Amino acid sequence: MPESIDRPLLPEERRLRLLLRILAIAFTLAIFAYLLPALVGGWRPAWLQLPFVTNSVVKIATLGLLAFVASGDVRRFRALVLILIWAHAVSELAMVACLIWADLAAPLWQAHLGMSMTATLWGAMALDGVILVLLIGAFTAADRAHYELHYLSPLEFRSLCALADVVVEGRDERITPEDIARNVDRYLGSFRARRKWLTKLALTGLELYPLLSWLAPLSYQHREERAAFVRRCLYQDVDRRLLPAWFRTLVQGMSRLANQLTYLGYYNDPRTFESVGYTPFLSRPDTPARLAQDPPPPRRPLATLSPADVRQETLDADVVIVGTGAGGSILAHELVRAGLDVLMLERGPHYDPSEFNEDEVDMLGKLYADGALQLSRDFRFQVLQGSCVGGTTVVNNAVSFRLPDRVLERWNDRDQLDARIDEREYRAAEDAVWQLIHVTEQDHRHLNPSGYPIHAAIARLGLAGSPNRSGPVAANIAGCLGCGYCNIGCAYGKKLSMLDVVLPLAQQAGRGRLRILAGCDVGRLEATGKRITAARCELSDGRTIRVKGRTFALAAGAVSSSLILLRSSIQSRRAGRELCFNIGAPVSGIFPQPIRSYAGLQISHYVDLEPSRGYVVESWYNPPVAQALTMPGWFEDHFEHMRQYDRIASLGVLVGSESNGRATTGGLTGREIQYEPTPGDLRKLLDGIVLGGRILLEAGCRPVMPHTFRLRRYSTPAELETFPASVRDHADLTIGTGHPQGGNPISARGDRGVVDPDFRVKGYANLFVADASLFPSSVGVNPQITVMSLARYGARFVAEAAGRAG
Amino acid sequence: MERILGPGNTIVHYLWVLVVYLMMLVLMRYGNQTVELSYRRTRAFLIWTLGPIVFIANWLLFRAGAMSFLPWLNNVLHALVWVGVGLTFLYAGCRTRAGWEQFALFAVFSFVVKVAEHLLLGTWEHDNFFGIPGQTTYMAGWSALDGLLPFVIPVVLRQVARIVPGIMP
Repeated sequence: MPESIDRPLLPEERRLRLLLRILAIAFTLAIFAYLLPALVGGWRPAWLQLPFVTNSVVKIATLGLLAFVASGDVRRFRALVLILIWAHAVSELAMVACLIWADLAAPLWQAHLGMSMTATLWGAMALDGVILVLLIGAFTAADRAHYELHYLSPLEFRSLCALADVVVEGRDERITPEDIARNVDRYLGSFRARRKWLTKLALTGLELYPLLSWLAPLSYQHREERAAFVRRCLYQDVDRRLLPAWFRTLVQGMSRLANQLTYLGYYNDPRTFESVGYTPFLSRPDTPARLAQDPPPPRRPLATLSPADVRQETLDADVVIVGTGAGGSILAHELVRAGLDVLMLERGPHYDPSEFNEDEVDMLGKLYADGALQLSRDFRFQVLQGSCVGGTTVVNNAVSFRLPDRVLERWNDRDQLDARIDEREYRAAEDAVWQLIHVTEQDHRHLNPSGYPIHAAIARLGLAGSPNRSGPVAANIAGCLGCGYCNIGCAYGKKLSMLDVVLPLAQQAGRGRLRILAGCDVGRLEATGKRITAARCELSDGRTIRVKGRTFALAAGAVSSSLILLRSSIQSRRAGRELCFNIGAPVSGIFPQPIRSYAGLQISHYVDLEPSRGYVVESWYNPPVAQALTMPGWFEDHFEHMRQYDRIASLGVLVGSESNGRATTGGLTGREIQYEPTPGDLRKLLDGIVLGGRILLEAGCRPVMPHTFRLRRYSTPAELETFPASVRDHADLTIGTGHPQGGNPISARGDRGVVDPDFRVKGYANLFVADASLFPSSVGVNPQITVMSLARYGARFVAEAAGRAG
Repeated sequence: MERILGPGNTIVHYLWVLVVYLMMLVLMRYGNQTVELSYRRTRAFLIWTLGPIVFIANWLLFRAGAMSFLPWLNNVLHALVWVGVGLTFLYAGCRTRAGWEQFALFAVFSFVVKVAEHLLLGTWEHDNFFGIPGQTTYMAGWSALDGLLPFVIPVVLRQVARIVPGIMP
């Protein structure tokens, strides 16, 4: 492991050195304490009969020597300190065992020394215990100070260093494993999240996992042995299904999390950009011209409250809206225009777009729920959601689709959920939203550069004509600069998100009637009978407040709204069930020449086949970290793929899943998402990946690579056709979603659904839902327009209820 | 002390009775994990009214000769804990089910508890149920009457809801 041994010792390290020196002297003196009574004095006859004296002398002399050598250079010989700690810990355990099970009535001690064996053991335990505590304390402090850690423990840090050393593997590595781990530590220390401790668990597990194979902990292994272990135990054993299913899930989850951290630490470092062919937007040669041609529009001001602004323990409003994303913002916009006093509660912080920057990891930590670490229970399915004022609209791709007719028909099917959404009124709401956020077809010169050959390939394959739909996407983006940072927040005011447009407009229209409190996490609701009276919230500074209102609307997203209901014991038999997603799986291809997919709109083209095959294929690319997190391949393969980052193009296959997911308040974090794709959804996904691969092959990519656990590369359509047969289940694929839906489906039926057709939670007079959790099934396309349109459609119900309550 | 604990009974016997109640609650939770938020005030009302009413009714029915004497601690636990906490939880969970289901659930759970108390404490000892002879008949008869609670409770709650806000039938 690389160590910076040339720096002078830090105060904490000097304290450890002092302790070790004291121990070395004390242990040396103890040798004499053991030996002298055997040689001189009145105890000599008794002492000579004690067989353990020899062992004790050997032990104490060894410990003294270890302490002595370790004190010479506490950095170089830190492992010796660990051995000292280990020896004392084992000693404590052994003495406890003796106290419990040994025969302590041995006459020798009582007769000659006037001490019972029990008292002697307790005394020795106390002494060893003090030494153990001092050693652990001094060692941990020295390690923390040495690595300058913000979040990880020294053990976790070293585990990550050890993994990074073998996972980022290839010629021309630009930064050291220690740099990678430091970057990760800074990232993890930069945001608050409930699930963050899982990263600690994963890294600790990774460090200790080799013990099961009777090998030294990961960071103590030689590099070659470690690389072999990681290949065998984290990759091959999982891939070949050599482990029991439950254990394989754990190992795969642990390695996925740890690998992601490693890539995140490496590819976010600007020193690596050149090696992967990436140029950040502000450093690109044509950026000044782009900015001059399409300058950022003037900012619309948005005033928000932070926890520091809240002095009282109770807040009050006509309507309390939980969540400031697509649904909540549109609802607030409509309600303030109806003259109501609205208070919006947002769990995440408020960042002005001027604070957005090009640092991917920094923005992931600031703008995403759980810093983008939200995974399903089996760690195999990533659920990305924005968590900031503006919600996911701040970090989505702004891709806009109208709700497909077939989906609305299914929702209104009287034999199914019977949502009873008035189609005419819904479409009117959709039109209004379309205009409000200025959705237009993105047919400009800053589209994703790979989109053009992809679009041409779609046409050559005969997929572009009617009844299929294909071409550049529609999006609420005006005058795109092509920076490629849709997913980390548009700093240039081009994406017309809730943060940029709707909330400022609403605040302007409301003239003081719209307040937004950021950093306010709603725990549960309180009720008197059928009326919700207050929301209990925890502020990000740790204080708890109550927010009273006459009417409440949940718009915190499919997962969070369901969990608020469950935590409040509202519709607890149904809430959180019937969760569905647009599950996405990428496929990438390598062009023979640089194509710089990153230098344009992230999602720019799509193809939707008619009759529907259950999926949409969209061109898709990311800045280096996000791309590295899903890039297929391990070790040198992954590294080589990333070196071709500027030649790669990707397509995302989006499948509207069945409603077999579930959000629960259980699990390790009280926020658990249970989901695995059904066989039918998996088939659609594989079908879509094959189609995506064919498009990339036709566009000139060689090879194409579905994002799979084991790397698979295909260079011809015939080879590609064999891909579905190679996938055993979803664990073989990299799948994730940014579009959770359902959980509180709308239904007129008494025996189904959580929400009535008037958006009111069944059984409650003044509680409404206005987000994607309403969806009776997955929409199968990017859902933001549907969320907004439903919120606008439902606003009249909320306004009526609030008006009546007033 | 006999009047409080019953002849030959100790606190340990009552602890076992509480264990039985707990087991019944665990069983009930399989059907319904929590009480719906909107129903909590109603359930609190039931806990504080139904329990004391049953406590007094048990004593009055004993005085009237329709029931055997329940030692005071048995009566307190049965009325306040079992009926007050247990049966109100059961009611909150099953009140929307079919009438026969509610009857069956209440009657069966009540019968199990009565048998348990009879075996553990020697109470619910009576040779007839309103003239119909038999020890088992006595316990089954009162359990059947308990099965009618889900039909009585909403009638009462409907009246209470008129004057107490937040009460739901």
